[in-house]
Amino acid sequence: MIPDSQVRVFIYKSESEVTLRSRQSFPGLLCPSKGEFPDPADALWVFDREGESVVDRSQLHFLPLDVSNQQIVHVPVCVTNCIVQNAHSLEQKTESAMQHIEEWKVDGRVSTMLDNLPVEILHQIFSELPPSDLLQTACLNARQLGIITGSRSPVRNRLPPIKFKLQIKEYKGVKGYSRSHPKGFHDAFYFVCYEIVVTGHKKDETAQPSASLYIYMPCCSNDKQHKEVLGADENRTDRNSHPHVGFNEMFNNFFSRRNYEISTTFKSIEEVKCYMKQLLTYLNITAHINKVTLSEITADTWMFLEKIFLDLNIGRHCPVECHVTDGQNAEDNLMDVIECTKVPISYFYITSIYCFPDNWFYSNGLQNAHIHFISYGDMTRLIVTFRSLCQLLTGLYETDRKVTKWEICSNLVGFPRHNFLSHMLQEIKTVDPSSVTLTDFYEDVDEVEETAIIHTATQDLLVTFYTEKRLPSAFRLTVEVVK
Amino acid sequence: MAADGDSMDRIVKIKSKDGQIFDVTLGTIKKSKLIMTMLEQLGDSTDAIPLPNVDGSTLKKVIEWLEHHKEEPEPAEEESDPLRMRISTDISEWDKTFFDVEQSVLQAYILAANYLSIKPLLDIGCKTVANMIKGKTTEQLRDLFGLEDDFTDEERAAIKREYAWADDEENQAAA
Repeated sequence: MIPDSQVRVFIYKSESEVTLRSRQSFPGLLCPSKGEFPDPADALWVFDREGESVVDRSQLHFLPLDVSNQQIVHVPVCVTNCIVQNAHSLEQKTESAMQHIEEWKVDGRVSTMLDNLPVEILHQIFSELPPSDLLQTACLNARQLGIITGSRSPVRNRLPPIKFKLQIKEYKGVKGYSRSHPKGFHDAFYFVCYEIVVTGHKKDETAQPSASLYIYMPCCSNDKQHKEVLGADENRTDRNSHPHVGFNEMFNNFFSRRNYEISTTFKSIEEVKCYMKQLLTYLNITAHINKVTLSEITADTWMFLEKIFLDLNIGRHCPVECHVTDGQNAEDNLMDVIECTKVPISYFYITSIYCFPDNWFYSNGLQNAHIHFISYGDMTRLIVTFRSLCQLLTGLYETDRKVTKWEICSNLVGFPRHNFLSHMLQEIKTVDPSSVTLTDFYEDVDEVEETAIIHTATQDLLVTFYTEKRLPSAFRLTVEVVK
Repeated sequence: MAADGDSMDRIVKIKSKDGQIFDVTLGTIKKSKLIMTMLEQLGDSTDAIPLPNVDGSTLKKVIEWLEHHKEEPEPAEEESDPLRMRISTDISEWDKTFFDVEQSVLQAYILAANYLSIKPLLDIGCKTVANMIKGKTTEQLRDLFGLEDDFTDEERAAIKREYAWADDEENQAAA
């Protein structure tokens, strides 16, 4: 209902400070009744987050919800990222309010920037978006979906994207040895290799071709040897010396559904970073990155990857898993780096329990992460490991984090799982052992010989024991922490 | 319209929709194809050029932007390298600060750039909005832009059928 010319619009807020977000409305801003209306001379003060700058009144948008109490229109206020402070009121002349209403109203609701911009400008904006973000935008509302998928849309063909999984693995090689590539491209020097595997497919296609890139960087102990290495590899770098050649060629083949491999060597880590940035940018604007897995990366690698991920928003729409499986890299400062990362990591796998900083659970990067420990060793180490874990996990209960799933796997010969269970439950003092029940569970007879699951009554604790034939002397504990 | 150094100092009067008149040099305003076209048509007239679609406060900021960028060369017509076409992170700090405004103001800048046909300003405005969108979920975007989910059940089901393949169980875990 539209107010008539006699209606005055009042905004009233009487509670403590409230953070408002775009188009958020709440009863505190509505005038409660005519009789309770405060002094019209009061002002509605709007501050920024520092509490200093007063936001211009023109940034307040009004929408009539109702005309009641004769002359009072109840209105919500739209303020973006501001804090409204103080219990003040605002009197707004009807004409001014009506002007705002007419300017911002579309189909009876307040319109916003995406409503008001012309279609051709929206197309230009959307052409800047990678497929993942384009998909999120298309699902906003019917208008945006129509603009993106309409027959004249320049971005419509990018919406049903190609879907990739991206694996980046880091390792070091020596002369004559390439752990992952049977052909052994490099046989003359000691190197750092980034093995990048992209696996994916187009919509309505089941074939999943893969493309593999091997990025080598010589790594030598002195300058002389370094020069010799670069000289020896000079011929090899010719073929793919320009990064664009490398992955453009790769993806042309990839889209032809042919498995493809290329190898390229760079002279410095700066060149590697540049190539990685171009490669990931290309992937990001070409396809929907469905999952990223990082294996055995070092802290240095993570730091430059993290910057690229943040720039490209990789990890916002897909899980990023981090695997450190041999314990070696976990002993550098990777954990400290990961702890401070802004890239959300959905899974973190690591072998060595002795490397954990006490507080790394609390890092922002590991919020909602699934943490997967693997520990190899004898029973004594296993118990020590587990005790350390229990202490850490018990600490979690004192916070707002909750361990929602525990999984323990072991194939230790003669592993006394019932005794171990008892021991474990004593360590986890916050769990009532009487509430725990034991159930046998078999997943895959080829891999799992014996499995037991323990559920708490509330189903927020899951402990699984099982034996894996394929992993002798392995002990694995999976902990799922959800905030 | 070719112009030498002296003509670049020529003062041009432009008038906003609320009647404000601004004096700007030709060197400052030359990035606006609309105004350059109008100047060609008006010849030596000293009348203020009316810009009925731009209010005074917005026009003032547009002039400020043009003044800051007046020495910069005209951008290439079209970028053929796909890697450069869609990288929206290459916005200068000055421009980031310039566009760090409320959405209604940002919208006014973009519409003014479009109306005045100032391509570099329009490009940066669009990149700014694109950067606001990037990395956010649909819900976060609705919150940011104040949009409502107005899909019907049928439309929603169709979207799920059409695009759910991109959001498999792995993506759910990350959400």
